[in-house]
Amino acid sequence: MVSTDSTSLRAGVDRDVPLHPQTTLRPPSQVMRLSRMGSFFPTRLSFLRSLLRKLAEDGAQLKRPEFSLDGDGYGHAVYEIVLDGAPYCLIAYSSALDDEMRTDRVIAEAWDACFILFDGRPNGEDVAALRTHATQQEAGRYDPRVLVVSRANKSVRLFEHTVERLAFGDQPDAAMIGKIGYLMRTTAVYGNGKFGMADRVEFMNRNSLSQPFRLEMLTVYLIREFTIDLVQHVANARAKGNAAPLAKEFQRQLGIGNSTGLGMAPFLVSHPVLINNWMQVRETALARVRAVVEANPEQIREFKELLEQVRRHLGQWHVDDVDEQVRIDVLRDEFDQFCEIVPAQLAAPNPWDRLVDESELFGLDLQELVVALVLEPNGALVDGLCDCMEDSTQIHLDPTQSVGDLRDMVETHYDWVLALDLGEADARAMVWYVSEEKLEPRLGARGADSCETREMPHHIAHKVQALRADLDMFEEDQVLAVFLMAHPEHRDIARRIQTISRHPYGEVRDNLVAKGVRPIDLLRCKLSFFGAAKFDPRSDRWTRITLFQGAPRAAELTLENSADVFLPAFGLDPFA
Amino acid sequence: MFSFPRSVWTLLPRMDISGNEYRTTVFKACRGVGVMYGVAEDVADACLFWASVSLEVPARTIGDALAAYEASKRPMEWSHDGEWVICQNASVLCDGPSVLDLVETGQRVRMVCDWPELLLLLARHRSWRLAGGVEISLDGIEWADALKATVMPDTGVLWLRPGQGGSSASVLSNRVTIDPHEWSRIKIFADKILVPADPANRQDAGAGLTDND
Repeated sequence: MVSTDSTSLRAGVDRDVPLHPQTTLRPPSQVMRLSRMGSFFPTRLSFLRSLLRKLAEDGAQLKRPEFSLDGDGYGHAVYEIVLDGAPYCLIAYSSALDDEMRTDRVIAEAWDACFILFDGRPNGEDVAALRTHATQQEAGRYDPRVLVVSRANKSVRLFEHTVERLAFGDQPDAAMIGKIGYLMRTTAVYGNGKFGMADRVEFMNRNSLSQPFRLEMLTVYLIREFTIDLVQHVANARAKGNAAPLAKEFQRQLGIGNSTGLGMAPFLVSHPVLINNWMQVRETALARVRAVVEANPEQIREFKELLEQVRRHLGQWHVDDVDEQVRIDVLRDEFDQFCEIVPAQLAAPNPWDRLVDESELFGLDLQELVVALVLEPNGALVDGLCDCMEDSTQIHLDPTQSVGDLRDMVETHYDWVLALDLGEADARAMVWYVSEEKLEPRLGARGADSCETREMPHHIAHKVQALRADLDMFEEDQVLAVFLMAHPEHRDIARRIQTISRHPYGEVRDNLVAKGVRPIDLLRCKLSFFGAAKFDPRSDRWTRITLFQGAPRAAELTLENSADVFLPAFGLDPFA
Repeated sequence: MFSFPRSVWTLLPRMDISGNEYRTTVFKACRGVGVMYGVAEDVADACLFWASVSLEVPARTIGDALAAYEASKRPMEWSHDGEWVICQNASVLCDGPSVLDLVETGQRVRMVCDWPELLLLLARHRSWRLAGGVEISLDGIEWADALKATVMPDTGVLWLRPGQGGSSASVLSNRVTIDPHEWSRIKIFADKILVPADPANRQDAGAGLTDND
C-alpha cells in the first residue's frame, strides 16, 4: 500500500514541502527481532557513509601538521581536518608493545597506538600533556577540548609483512591484505563525556557534527589515514628512503579493524528513542524506495553493477567460525538465485518493491542484504533522512495516565511479552552485569549471587509481565500516580512503555535474558548502522569487523567515490 | 550535620567533570546502594540539572542521602484528609518521585521526609509540570532561597506551586564543577554495582585474553 503520509517523520516539517510517497513501513514486530537485527548490513544511511558524503560535499582537506615518529614508528603525529570552518585534530601516539600485552579486551593496560580527537588545534604543550592521559585511556582524565579517545592494536602479521615487502621494494601479498583487511584494529572508541571529555550535547548543534557517532566515525577515518602513513614511514626508515610506495589499490583495501564485545549491547537497550530513530529512518527509507514506480536506466545499470560487486564481496568474506561460515555460504547461494530474478523485476513497475517482496522467499540474511542494496541507487530519495537519526528527547513519565490506558499500551506494544512463558528457568537463565575489571560488561549464568544482585535491567520482558500483573489489581480509571505510590518498583518500566508507545522501533522484541540469547545479534545491528562490514564473530558475544574498507583516502575523496565503501570487492579472492 | 555556607564552597578545590559523567555516576550510585531503577533515573536527572546551573547542593545532598539510604528506607505512611494528601515518615529515595507524581496530577501534598532538600531538588526540577502543590518541612535548609521557592514564615515550611519560577528542565551547562571529596564519595557508591572479578566470570565477556594476529 502506498501512501504519502509519513507521520513518524512529520514533526517539524514545513507543511508546504511535499512528502515523498511511501509504502507502509515494515512493523516493529517484523523488524525488531534479534534474528533479523543480527542479519543487518551497512547501508548508505550508515554513519560512516554519511560522514564520507559530508567530507566530500565540504571538500574537506586533510593536513598533517606534525609527524614525529622514529624509525620504528614510535612517537606522535597530528592530523587536521576542517569542518564548517572549525578545525579538528587527531593526535596519534604510537608506542612499542610486547605481544603478551596485546589484548583487544577492555581489560588491556597498553596498546600499540592511542588517539585523541581534539577540538581545535593543539599546541605542543597540549600534545605532550595529553600523551600521559591518552596512553592510559580509561585511567586518564580529559577536558572538554577532547572529543573522542580511542586506541588500536596492530595486526602484527600484516603490519610487519607490509613493512618488509615495501622496504624490499615490493608490494605486500594481495591475499594477505584481502584476508586481514586492516593494519590496526580499534578496541574502544570513547566519546560523549566519558572521563571528563566533551559531552555530545556540547557540539551536537554544530551542523557538521549533529548526526550520531559523527565524531567517532571521523576519528576512525583519521586513524585509518595514520595507519597507512605509519606503515609507509616504517618501511621508508627500514629501506633508508628507498621503500616502494604502497599501491593505491592496497591503500583502498585497508580499512580499520575493530573488536567489539558486550559493551555495545546495553546501548541498544538503554537508548530506546535513539534506536527507534535509527530504525524508523531505515524503514522509512525502504518504504520510500518501495513506492518508486519506475527505475531509470542509470539506476538499473548501477544496480546490476552492484550485484556483481556484492557477489564478489560475499565470495571474499570468510570467517573462522564454522557455523558463521555456513551461514555465509548459504547467503552466497541464495544471492545467486536472487540475482537470476532481478532483470525481470527491474523492468516491471515498482521494481524495488518487487525485489524486496521476492527476497522474502529467502532467509533473513538475504532479505536484509536486499534492503541495503535497493537503497543504494536511491540516494536522492533517502540520504536526507540521515538528519533524523539523532535524539535530543527528554523522557518523562506521565503520571496522569490512567491504569487502563497503560494496560492498553502493554497489550498493543508488548503483546510479544504477554505471549512469552517466563515461568521456566530457561527464560531467566542469563544475567547481564558489569565487572569491576575496567567496567567490562559481561553476560553470565544466573545463580552467582554477586552477579544477580547487580543485574543490569535487560530483563524487560519480565518487568513488563510483573507490571501487567500488578496493574490488574487496580481500577481502570485510577491514575498511574496512585498505582506508583503502591508500586514504585514499576516506575522505570511504566516510563519505558509510555516511551515505546511513541517510539515503537525502540524495543528489541526478544527476551534478552533467555538461555541461548545471542548478544552478537545486537552487536551486528549497531555495527551495521556504523557502516561495518565483514562481520567475523569470535563467539556469540564478540566480533571483529572492518570499517572504511574500500573507502577513498581523504586526499582522493569525492561525492561519487564515497559510495565505494559499500560492501567492497577487490582484485583477488584471497581464498581462491 | 556540619555544612559550609555557600560563600565558602567557592574557595574549595574544584573538579571539572562532564554532565553525562555526572548524571551517569549519580544514577549508578543510586543503584549501588539499592535505590529502585526508576527513582534513580529521576534523581540523576534532577541532580544533573541543578549541578549544571552551578548549584552546589546536589553532590553533598545526594552523597549524604545515599550514605543513609539503607537505614532510612521505610514504608511511607500516607492518607488523604479530603483536601491534602498527608505523607509521613517518607524516604525520598524510595517514594519522592511517586509523591511528586501525585502533585503532577493536581493533588496538594504535605510531606515530612528524611531528605527535604532532595525532594525539593526533585520537585523544582519538574515544577513546570506540577499541577498541584507541595509543602515540604524545611527544618533549617539554608539554601532554599537559591531555588526561589516560598518559605512560609509562620510555619517554616516551603510551599511550592506551579509557575513559581519554574525551571525548563533543560540543562544549561554541560560541565559540572564539584568538590573532589564529594565526587569520590559518589563514585564509591557507584562502584557498588560492579561485580568482583574472578577467573570464572572473566570468561563471561566471551573473548580470549590475547589477540596477536
